[in-house]
Amino acid sequence: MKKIKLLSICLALLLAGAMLAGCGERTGGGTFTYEELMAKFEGEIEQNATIRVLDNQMAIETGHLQEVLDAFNEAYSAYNVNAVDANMDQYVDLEQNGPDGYGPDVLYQANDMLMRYAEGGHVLPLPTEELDISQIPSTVMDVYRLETYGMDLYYGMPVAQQSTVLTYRKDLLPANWQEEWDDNANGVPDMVENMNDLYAYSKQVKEESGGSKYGLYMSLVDQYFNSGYLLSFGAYVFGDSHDDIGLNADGAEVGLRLFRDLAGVLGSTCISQNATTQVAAYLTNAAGTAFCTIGTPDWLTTFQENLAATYVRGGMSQQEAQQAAQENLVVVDPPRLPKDGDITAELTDMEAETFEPTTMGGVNAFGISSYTKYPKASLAFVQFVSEYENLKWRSEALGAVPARTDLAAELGGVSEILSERVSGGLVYMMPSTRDTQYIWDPLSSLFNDVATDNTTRADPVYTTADSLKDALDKLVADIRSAMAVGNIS
Amino acid sequence: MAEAMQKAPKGSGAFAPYQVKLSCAFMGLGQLFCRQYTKGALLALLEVGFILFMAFAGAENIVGLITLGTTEGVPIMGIAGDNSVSMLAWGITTVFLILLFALAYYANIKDVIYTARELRKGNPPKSFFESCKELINGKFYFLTLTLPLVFVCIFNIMPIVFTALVAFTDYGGEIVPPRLVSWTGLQSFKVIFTMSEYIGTMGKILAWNILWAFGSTFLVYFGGLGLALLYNSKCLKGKRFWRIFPMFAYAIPSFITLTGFYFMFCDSGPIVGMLKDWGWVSENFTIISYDSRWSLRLLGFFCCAWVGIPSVMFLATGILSNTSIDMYEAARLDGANGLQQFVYLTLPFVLFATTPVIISTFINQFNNFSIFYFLRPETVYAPGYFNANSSDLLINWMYNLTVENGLYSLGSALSLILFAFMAVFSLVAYVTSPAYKKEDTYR
Repeated sequence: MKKIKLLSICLALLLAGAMLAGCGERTGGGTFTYEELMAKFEGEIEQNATIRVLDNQMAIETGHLQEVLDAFNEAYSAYNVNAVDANMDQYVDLEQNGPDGYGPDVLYQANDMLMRYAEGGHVLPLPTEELDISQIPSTVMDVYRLETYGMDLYYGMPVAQQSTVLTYRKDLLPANWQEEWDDNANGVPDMVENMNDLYAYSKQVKEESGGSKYGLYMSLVDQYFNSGYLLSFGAYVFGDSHDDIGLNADGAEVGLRLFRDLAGVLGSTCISQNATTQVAAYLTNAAGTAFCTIGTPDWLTTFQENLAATYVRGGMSQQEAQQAAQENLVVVDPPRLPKDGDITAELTDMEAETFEPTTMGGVNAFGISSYTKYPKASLAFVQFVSEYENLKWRSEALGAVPARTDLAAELGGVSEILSERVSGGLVYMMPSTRDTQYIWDPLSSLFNDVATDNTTRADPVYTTADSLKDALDKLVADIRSAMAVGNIS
Repeated sequence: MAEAMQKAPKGSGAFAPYQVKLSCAFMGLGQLFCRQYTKGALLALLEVGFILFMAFAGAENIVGLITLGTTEGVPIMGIAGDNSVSMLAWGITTVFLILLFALAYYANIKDVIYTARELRKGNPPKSFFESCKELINGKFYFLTLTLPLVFVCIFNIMPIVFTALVAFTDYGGEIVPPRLVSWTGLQSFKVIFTMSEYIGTMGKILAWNILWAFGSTFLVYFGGLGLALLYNSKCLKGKRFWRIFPMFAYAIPSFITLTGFYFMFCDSGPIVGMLKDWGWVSENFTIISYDSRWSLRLLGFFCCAWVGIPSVMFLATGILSNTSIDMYEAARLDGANGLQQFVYLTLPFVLFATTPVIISTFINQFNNFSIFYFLRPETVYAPGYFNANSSDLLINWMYNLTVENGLYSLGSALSLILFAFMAVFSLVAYVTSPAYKKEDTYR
């Protein structure tokens, strides 16, 4: 009897709870005007504000961030503003930490991450009229644009562009490269100009060294670097809507076959993220383990430092070593790809048989957390770091490619190369949406799978165009599932 | 209360009902009328405090627990709104406080019944000092166990309840603050059991997980026991010297050992390199690869044995030192050989003493997160698995879902399924074990 009573009470409570839950009408959201949204940036900078700035690891390690913070604090000393290193993980989760007050005030992130926060309302739209954006191409600005309350608002101040470039050691070129590896006699080694010759050279280096040296060395599982092979042959991430996923678009299987062939010559040690951390050592050691790599332009600073250190150990003075390192490490466009996707074939007419590849790219920007107590001081910091001279300072210190076209032209070299690629539409910008997060793991699995197929798998499965197409179809299905679960959960 | 009243000794008659009724109506009032002023005042203060808490925060917390918030925040305008996750946490805390208060209320009524009965017998009421003294002397166990119990509630039970309740919401993925979380009933379980990606992955991982748990427990247990018997045998010279080596394996943190194993056995590591150099394996040979299934699983068993055997060995060494020499002497006289002595004397004795250890080892192995997390440090998902790889255990899958992908409600639902499985297994294993059935045999 008692049990029945207890059960009845429990059921009644549950029912009451369910009814109450149903009764709670949910409100929120609303609509705001541009003036209302920007009101927080109006007026004098807050006095005695302490703003936490999150920058990338390289800026922290090189001491550049601290120098910028000191310069900013001095410039704004009248307001007694204190900008400090947020001292947080580079990939801090603002969604989790922001509402609790633990996140940074100003954060430097890639567009996919910053715009994911923007979609969740975790970063503030910026008053672009107060920022110097005149020299930033619209293609770059657009990655930070999000329609909010019926207006096009910008959530980040673009600072640096990222995409892939090829870096090689000039001193490791074969002595006879001008005779053997410069068919078009343009003074540029063929193996850094097109993928067919790079494949052939990598194969030769590997065979001659018994597998201890590499022509090209890079991670085969890095989605960011390798997705270019798909994008170059017609693939795209999202079409008009997120239902339209185009990584399996017609032709993408040709790019995937190219990747598979490339994996065969790179070998199983490159089927790891470790390869990305290993590359600096392999490219800059005295033995010259690797001739070249494909990566982001900001790696160059680290490569130059490492190679200079190698030369110093070899007996050079510091100044000589630095000069030699700068001369010997050359950054060029990513190698041209064969139109038919067959990198194992020998080219007879490079210009006619190859094309400029499309690579995945992104734009890094400074954004301001919605949870900051000091929006005006935070905006002042963003304005400060995006001034022409300070952007130049950053680019020189970190090897970052500036988002400003005028600065890229002035700096020349890698900045100019990448800037021209962006202007020429050869850089596919990472979609600035939360759903982009769902493409990375399936892409990594695809590259793992296909690279394994041509390196360690006893019975390869991706030997035909149809099987590669099936792999791409499965990739898209996996992305759809991940998106579906993300939306359900 | 009625139960407590019924327990009054026969013939004692009705005890002062008004004091009990007063304490039922408001904590401490009855005690005040029993002339226990300090205790009564403290109890009354407790109830006042509780009422104030409920009025100012508790009731709101309970409503919050039910609704999980009604106003969505707009952080870009500085409008905070409701934080569903905080509301869930505070709601659970309030429910716990209500339960604790209910317990205190029950104790208050029991106390006043006892005091009133004593008064009726003509005994004077206990002073506050006497009550405290009795608590310290007579119910010391209560005092010492209450504090740990409170900590267990705060640091164990409440987080578990929180995790369990998350399984019944849509928290995770797109739904994170400032968006409001909703109660979704069994939706997460439905996704796990009906979405083809999940049910297929779960079936495969569960089958491998069970095999792993049984296999690794068997390996660790009998490996440890075998090593202990070896070290215990009379023929072994320099026992102390030999015992140092398992101690090394035991003393080094397992994640360091596992990281070391990864670098030894990965494609660029020395083991695979040497095997290739010697021509013992083909150029395609790999142990830890994207689609390594059994090579990595077997490496997992090996690493598990390396890390786990020493602890069981030390335990078994201690137990074996308590075996009766006479028993073995008698067995030898009866003509039993070494194997028979092990099967009929040593094994039952060790099994009896270590059944709880086997169960805990099994549970640890079932939830052994570190082995495959460190042996396959990169997140790669295998074909036919959703957000998982072929060597992942359920706990690794749960980690992928929650930490890597932020699918908290699905991760919580999975952890509840895991918990149910382990609870049933542990209970069945223990109830059917010799340690439970033959409790008196070795006493």
